[in-house]
Amino acid sequence: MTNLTVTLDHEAAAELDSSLHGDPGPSSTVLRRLVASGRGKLAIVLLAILLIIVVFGPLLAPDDPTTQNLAVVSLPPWLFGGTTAHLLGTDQYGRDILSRLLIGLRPSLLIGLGASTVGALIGLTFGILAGTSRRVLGPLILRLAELELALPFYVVAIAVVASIGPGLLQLFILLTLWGWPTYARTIASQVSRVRTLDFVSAARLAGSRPAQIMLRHVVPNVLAPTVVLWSGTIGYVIVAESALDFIGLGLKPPAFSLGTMLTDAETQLGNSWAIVIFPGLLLALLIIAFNVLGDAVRDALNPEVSEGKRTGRRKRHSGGNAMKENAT
Amino acid sequence: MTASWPRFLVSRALQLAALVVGAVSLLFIALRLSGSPAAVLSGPNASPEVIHATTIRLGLDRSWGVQYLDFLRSGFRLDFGNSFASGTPAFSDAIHSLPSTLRIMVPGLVLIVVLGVAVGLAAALYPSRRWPRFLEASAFGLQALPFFWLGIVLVLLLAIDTQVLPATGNSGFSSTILPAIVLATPQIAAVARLLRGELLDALSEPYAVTARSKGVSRRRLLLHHLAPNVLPTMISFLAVIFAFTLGAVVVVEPLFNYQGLGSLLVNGVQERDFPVVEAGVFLVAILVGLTNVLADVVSRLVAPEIGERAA
Amino acid sequence: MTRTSDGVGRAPMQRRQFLKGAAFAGALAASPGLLAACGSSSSSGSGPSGGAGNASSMNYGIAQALDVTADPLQKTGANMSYAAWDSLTYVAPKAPIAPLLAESWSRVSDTVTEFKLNPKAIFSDGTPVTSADVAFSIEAILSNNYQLAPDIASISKVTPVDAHTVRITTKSPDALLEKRLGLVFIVPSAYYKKLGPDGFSAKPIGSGRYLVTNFVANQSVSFEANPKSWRGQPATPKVHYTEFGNESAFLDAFLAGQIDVAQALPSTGIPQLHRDSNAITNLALDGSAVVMGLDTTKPPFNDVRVRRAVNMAINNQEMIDKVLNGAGRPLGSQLPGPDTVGYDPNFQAYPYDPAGAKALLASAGLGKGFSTTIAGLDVNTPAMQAVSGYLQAIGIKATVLTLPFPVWVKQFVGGSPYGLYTTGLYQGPFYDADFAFQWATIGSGQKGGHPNWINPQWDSMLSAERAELDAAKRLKLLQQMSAYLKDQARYLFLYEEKLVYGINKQVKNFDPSTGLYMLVDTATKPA
Repeated sequence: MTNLTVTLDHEAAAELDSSLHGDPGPSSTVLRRLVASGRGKLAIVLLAILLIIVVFGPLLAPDDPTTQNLAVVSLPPWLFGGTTAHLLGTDQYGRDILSRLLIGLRPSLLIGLGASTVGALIGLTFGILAGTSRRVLGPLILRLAELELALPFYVVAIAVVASIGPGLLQLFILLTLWGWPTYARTIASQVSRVRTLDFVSAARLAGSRPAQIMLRHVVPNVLAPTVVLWSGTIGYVIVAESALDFIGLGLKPPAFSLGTMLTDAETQLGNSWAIVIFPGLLLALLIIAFNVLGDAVRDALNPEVSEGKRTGRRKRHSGGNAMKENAT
Repeated sequence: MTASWPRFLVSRALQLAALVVGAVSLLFIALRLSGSPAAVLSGPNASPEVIHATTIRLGLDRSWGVQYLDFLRSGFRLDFGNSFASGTPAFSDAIHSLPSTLRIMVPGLVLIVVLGVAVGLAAALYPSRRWPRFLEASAFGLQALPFFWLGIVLVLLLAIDTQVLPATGNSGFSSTILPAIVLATPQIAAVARLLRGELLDALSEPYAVTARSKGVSRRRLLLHHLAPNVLPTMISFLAVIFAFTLGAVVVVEPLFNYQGLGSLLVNGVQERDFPVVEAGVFLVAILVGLTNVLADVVSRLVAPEIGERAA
Repeated sequence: MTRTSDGVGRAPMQRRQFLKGAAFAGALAASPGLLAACGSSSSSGSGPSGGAGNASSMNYGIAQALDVTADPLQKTGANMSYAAWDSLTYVAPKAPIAPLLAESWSRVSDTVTEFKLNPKAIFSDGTPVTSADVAFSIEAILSNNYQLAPDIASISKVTPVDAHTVRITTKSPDALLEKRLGLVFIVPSAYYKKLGPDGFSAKPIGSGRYLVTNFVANQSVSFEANPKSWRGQPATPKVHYTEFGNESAFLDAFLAGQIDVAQALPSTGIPQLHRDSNAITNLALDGSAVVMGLDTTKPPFNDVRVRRAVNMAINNQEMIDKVLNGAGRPLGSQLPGPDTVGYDPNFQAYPYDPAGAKALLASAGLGKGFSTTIAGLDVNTPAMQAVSGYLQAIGIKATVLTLPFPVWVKQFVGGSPYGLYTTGLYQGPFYDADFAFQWATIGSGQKGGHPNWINPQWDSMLSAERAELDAAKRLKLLQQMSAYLKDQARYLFLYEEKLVYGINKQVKNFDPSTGLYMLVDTATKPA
């Protein structure tokens, strides 16, 4: 979703500058800050719950999530007139909702996490390439990124699926494609800034090879913003994954995720509210957890911010609006 | 040194053209890969000869290169051929569906701006009070909800259980309310946060600090002096929000059975109605491109130096 | 996402397309109501009720595609063709074939039938319906290979004898000729030739009770009473058909009172319809057979035991009650339904016996189960999902795959690469089992086809029943074919659909029993 990419461009750019001027510190310090902050604690708790569900889901589930039983269709949850055998009720094919929630969380989480990570890696690579090659490759990559950012994601998605069909792999590819432009552009600008810094010029004069410069100076400086972007976008990728499932471009039955459960829900609005409410709540929880994590990571990587209150004492970024910096 | 207006506009126009051509070309390839509609149009009883005849009639037998050139040529004339389903010119189908879509997008965008700015301003004006932070947190929470789920829940509560608003269809103003809300909700927090960030940054600028030390109230400072400075950023952001919202209609319109450009596109893809999909995506690309150009132009007008940075 | 009866969202157009596909298979229904009203006597100027106290216009909603042309020659059994045009004969489900444009006919020889046209029949421009028009209409369909062509392909020659007598010759004896002619709507030949198909579609002329006044491709069509109608005036002078591609929008429009009669509402809307005090819901059997074709050319379905096992694994009545809200009737392992010629009331269906099914699988060496794919249109998702659930209970893991319409159509004609392929075989037009039987071995002979059942014995049985002119003997042949089909378990037999009609309480004299094609001549509502 392009709105996110802009916000992150802007905020990330601001953070970039701060982190350039003030080293975030060794990872242990960062982690300490992360865990100490209120947001960090909340994120950890939420993620721990979700992790337990993902790992122990099948054990915790009272029922097989795909077993159909037409004798008990659309039962309400236990406390609303249902039975204890189906605490959260059943769907229109008689399948236990609680079990489906516990199992359906996995694809939603894992695909979202996986795709945003791969997207980050791709974006990081392209970003470094674009930042270092100013003549042909760089501008080309950036134009491509702009092109992709400009076209609304879902429009692209339905056209792509029209050509290659739905499925897990296609879903993954689409979601990976969604994120990389943001990384590429942000990293590219970061890399090109770093290259002009004194210590890099000094290193070059001293005869260090480009690869060494890259590894020693450039990469560490782009890792921080990459991590910030990554943690901030996981939530959005998860929503995108559910949306694609929801409109039928993702997983196909009998595979299911929270997103496909919502597709079912849509047709059952008149019959059962349980199938509508619960998957959405769990999905929202998932997204909130990652969003909070994203905020916490960003704060932890930015010493000025996390040490004090967010009173706006961030340095004004000097490079112009990050959204448009690549124009011409 | 600011670039002259003609150079600026020309470069923008070129970018727009490149964007549109690039987008629609990719789409052309994608659609051709997806299978020919000739079989369905000929009917299942059709012999292979009839299907072949239909293929020729639709022009799908020619090599891709030829089809592509032809496509580009007619694209310049805004001629995408006739919709395979309706028989009417695809581009006019797309254009005619646009007003309906705008009827939900514009209210949605207004909601985003009004609420987003309100929350962002409040957060910047009163950073230490509780209620702006509460508002921000609520917007943040709303943003985390999957927007299509929000739509379903609203339909459940307002249309099915209580019959306050219509669940589906295009029947007048009331059927635009729910779609507009669903389109708007995810973006409000983003606008609020951006605005707050920008305003707080501006507050820490030297001239702002000086003004404060001279006794200018925070409020006056924000509203009268700083707000205009953050306009270019906000306007650019608005263009991006427009693009995203236009994309989201592809999911939101079918959710409410609302017949606009989004539903047209989705149906076109389903039915392999190439002309309609091509015309629709073309229209989307043009709209997105134009909005970006417009945003750049307005930014430049409002604050030439800052706008130039943004350019 | 559209709130359609299917789970996956991209369904808005599919239902009407499925019905369009059904139309391809040649679906037609007749009306006993019309039977009563039609006949060789010309009626008086005023129709059955007409006049005082009744609304002058009515709105109908249909899910069927209106298509891009108004020309009835290019369509098969379209709703609108019935309003503005007539065919030679009329077919009702359980009644003998009725005369319409043809007031009588007789077999001159095994392959030649002579039809005598009603001299009173005229088009809306006053010109008489002649044998030249009949010849033209039939020949145009055949020579242009329009949709209907395969259904009347048995006709080799049409010979006008005089203005009101025409002889039709078939390639070989055809027991269904008179019924097939019920699908051919007669157009004025001179006028059609002058304007050409597109011109004719813009300004159509027919002999029906209504005239087309406004046709918008795939959207709506408006009719007005034909003042020169040779069968008298319709009860309501103006009617309007609106096509609804989207099931939920269709349901909502009806519940909101925007439509007087809705044909083919989604079955998921039945609970809401029952709750609505202004609507009468009518579930009418439509002569279809919803089945899943099994790919008998590849393992595991090449083993008849496996095919029989899956038939025993499905509880069709439960599926109909719970998933389709009652909008169906279990097929009982035969394709024809009670209204269709070829039905065997004493047929032995496969029982619902999951244990027996598992035993059969074990005997075929598949005790551990296997994986396969159920393919079909979006519109069938609930049924596919339910079947998948039942198969899971006997150890078969069936992935549900929705096919885009063009892909599905290709597989309808050429055969499907998937283990189970969901389709509806419509016996609609003349409620004759032949219409469904003809598809059983489809695909052989198609280039690039993948026929799912190659069975020369079936093909010869088909030819035999088509040539058998004695009705009683033919019935026996058809029943034997049903038994063979069941025994071979060529299909996973599911259910016959019931069409969901939503009728506003105020509407009078509307007969929904015509099934797939509605007749609106007699319906009225108060002003």
